[in-house]
Amino acid sequence: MNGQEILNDFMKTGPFVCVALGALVLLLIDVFLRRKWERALFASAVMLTAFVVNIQLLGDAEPGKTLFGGLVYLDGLSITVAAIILLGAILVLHLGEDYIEREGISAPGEYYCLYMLAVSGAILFSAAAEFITLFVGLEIMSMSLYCLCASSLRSERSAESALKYFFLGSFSSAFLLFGMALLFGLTGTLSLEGIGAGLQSADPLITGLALGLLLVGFLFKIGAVPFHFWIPDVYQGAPTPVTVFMACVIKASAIVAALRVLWVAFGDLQLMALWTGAIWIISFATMIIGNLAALRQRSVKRMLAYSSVAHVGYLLMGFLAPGQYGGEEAILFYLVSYTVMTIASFGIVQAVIGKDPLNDSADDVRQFNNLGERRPFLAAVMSLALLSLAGLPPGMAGLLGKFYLFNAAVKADFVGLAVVGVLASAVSCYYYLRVIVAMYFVPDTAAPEEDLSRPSFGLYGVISLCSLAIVAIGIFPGTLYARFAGLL
Amino acid sequence: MSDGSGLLSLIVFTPLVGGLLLYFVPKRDGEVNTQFVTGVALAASLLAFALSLMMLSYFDPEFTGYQLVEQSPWIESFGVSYALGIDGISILLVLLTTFLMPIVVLASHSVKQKLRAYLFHMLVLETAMLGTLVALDAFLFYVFWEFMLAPMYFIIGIWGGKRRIYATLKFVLYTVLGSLLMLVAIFYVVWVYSRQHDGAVTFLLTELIAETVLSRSEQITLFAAFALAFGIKVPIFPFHTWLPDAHVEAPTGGSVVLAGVLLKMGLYGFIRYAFPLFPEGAQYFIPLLSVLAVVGIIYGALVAWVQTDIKKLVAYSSVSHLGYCVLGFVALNVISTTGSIYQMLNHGISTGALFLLVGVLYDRRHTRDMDEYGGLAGQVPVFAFLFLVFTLSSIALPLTNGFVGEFMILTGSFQTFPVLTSIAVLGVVFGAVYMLTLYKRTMFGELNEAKNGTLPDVTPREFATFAPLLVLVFVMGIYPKPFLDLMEPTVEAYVEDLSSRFGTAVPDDVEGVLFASTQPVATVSQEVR
Repeated sequence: MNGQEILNDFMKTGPFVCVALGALVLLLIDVFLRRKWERALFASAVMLTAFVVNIQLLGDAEPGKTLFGGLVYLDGLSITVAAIILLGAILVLHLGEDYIEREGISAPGEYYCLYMLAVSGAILFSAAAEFITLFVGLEIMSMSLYCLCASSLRSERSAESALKYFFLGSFSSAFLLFGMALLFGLTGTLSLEGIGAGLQSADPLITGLALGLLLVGFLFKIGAVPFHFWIPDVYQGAPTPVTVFMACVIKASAIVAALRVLWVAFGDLQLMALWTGAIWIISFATMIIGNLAALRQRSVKRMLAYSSVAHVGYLLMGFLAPGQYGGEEAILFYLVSYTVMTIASFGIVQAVIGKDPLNDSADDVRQFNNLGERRPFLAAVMSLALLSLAGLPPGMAGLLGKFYLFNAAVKADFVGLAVVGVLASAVSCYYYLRVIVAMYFVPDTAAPEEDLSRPSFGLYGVISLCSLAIVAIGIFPGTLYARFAGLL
Repeated sequence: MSDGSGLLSLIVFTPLVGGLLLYFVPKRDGEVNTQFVTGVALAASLLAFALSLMMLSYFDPEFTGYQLVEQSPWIESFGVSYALGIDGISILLVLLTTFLMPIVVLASHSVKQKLRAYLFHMLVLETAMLGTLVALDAFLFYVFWEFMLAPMYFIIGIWGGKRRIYATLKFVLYTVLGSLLMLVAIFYVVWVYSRQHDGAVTFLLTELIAETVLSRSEQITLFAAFALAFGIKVPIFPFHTWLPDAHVEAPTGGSVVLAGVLLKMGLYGFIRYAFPLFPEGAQYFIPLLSVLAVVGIIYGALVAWVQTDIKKLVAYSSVSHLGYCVLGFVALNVISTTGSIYQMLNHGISTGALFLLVGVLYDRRHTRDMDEYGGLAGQVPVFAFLFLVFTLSSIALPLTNGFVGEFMILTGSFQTFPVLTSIAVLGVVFGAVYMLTLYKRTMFGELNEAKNGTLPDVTPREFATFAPLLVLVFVMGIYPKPFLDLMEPTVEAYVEDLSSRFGTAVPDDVEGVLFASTQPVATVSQEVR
């Protein structure tokens, strides 16, 4: 591989390079930036550029094509996921703009730098074609996230959540590494496709062990039962913009990375049999436990955290429906709709927590009492987002997302799992609707006249966009879905 | 437009557009202008009604297939299309819906707070209901079906009574549980279809009905999933417990829509989806359904008898009346099925009116306790007259609409289920007992409370809401022919088609071989005996 080729390949990893460079440049110019919105604008501009570059690459993408001699994929999936990640990151960034100040984040320059590094890590993680790159991407992403979680310096919960996330995250990374090492020992290669080929003749016991270790690592990252315990604490403790970021952007990246590993390295029919049962059970348990645990939460942030666990359960159903069953399209579609629903719902939570984010009961469901009177627009968007998460019209995005996923599961002959899924989502209606009860049905007795600070312009813009998307994605799902077909 | 194409979409979405327009009505003195808002909502609902009358002129009753069909792809890769159409069965329910809605809007004067949002939800609900009635694509149907939930949830939750939160959550959770299982069942049918047609997919109802071959055991399971969704909505005993709660807590308009239209959706689902899709499954469940229907009739009537809350009484009477509709339909002969559909209209009119009347009383005295009233006839004669007419319609006195429907149902069902129908007739007697008791206790005798001495009679606006219903009670009771003519050819074809498909599919298991031919509808009654 000569220099010219390497340079060419660098160009083609444009989105990653662009965001990573942007992060470093921001560190350099940070001292010259006086106003806080300048940093946000810079970060947003960088990611928007990366998005445009990313779309430009669409012409170069082919299924199975790799860069740098097999380090990173350049296929439709990598580009689509990068697009989802970047758009989600831009939206979340503007959602949190003014919040960062209020939460007492003393060094916004570093905050945005870490934010962009996490985004670049997420892009690399989801596009990796071999294990070292995968691990590097994962660690860039995770390290930045640990710091982001701790970025609210005045809050003990923030520090707690960062520490918890850090310890458990390192632990799970170790599992992942161990699994990779075993696979390397078995096949002598680190590339996903090479492993897929090499495992045909490998010892099934050790293959199973390696697969198990990998699964533990991945399932931790995506927060599936029984590796979900960190989710509620971390989601609740972290600054809300970081929580949203983890809930949609990071989750999207980790889901796709896991999907690649399972479908490429363990995609052979015989190997699939090894993990199908495990994913079935985990999906089952995740849907049930996530939803049941969410029922009992009083904190809306924790409730949404458990609900995000439940949604991972739905997503895992798609893992069982590879190829012509349409699991991949269903997962991507769900990720998009889940991203907009999550941003909208957490956006409102952030606005409601508003003035006093450090208070423990700041996100108690009581804080939402009578929001319909106090802030009709916020309450309406929240209702739409919650109905969408529950999969009820007019929240069409969530409904169509479930449509594709359950459809794929039934098509792949997992009718039982689909039935469990719908029962679980019937349960979920209860806790989503409870917030609507608080917002509209409970006459306000306690809340003082004007306890909500005025949400920023950025927040209004983002939630308006998201609510438009929730309706539009659901009514015209075809164009989006068609883009997701046959990417892998 | 000259051939009526696009008319159905127009009817379905006119209320929604009207609802959105409400938020553009200029404010007066910083407050929502209630008269203006009501006017806009009334105009939108009247427009929808006018359009549905126009639809009538394009409708050919002799043609038994779907008419005014619109179809365009929606989710192409999954064969989901935006397909609408009506036939002799749905057209009457569409008319009922668009007819009731302006009345509900007019009756909204009792809503004291957030009137605009109330009307918005009502109009959205109308769109959802109309969409459910005219959808010909299984997934589109499901979307509209679920879409009915959110507005009703808000209507009960925001404008309801004391226990509204409990009632509305119960209503939504019950319904969602049933309908989600139906969704999986729909997927299953579609994928069976796909397997039998080299991977082609469609959610089109007609296509699925005609081209999918399902084994008997599959049909039974799938029918059960659909029946749960629809049975909860009807509601069929024992799934009725959400209904009294929802009715009692709902505001007047909400109760009218709930009783008038929403409940019919369950039976409509049976007629349009569950029975034609799974005839053998239906055949298997007909004995059970008919027994449950009769249990519902008797149970609903007996429970209504002992109520002291007037609204609860009317709510339980709904359980009883819907039992007749179910019984008439599952008897599956032309007379009983026609009667069943006719009775759905009657129930919408008479029970809707009764809820409005209860609302009138409640607005004045803020209680629904029967004991609080007594001897009102002298105090509010017009009210007493209206109450009498709708009471008699509800207990099916000849010359009122209720008589025609109930008579047809009982005559028809007797041919299929002689014993069950004989028991069901008891319900008619009970019905007369509890409704007349209600009337006697509230209207006749001496004025029992001083407060009732100052009770004002119905206002002109209130009377305007009752007048169309009043006219219909007699028109439909004395000259039902135009209504029956609209549906009869369709029902005939429907019953014939369904009966021909009972037990004809190739059974794939031993049980199927043994029983498929020994369980035609005609012998069901012998089993019951």
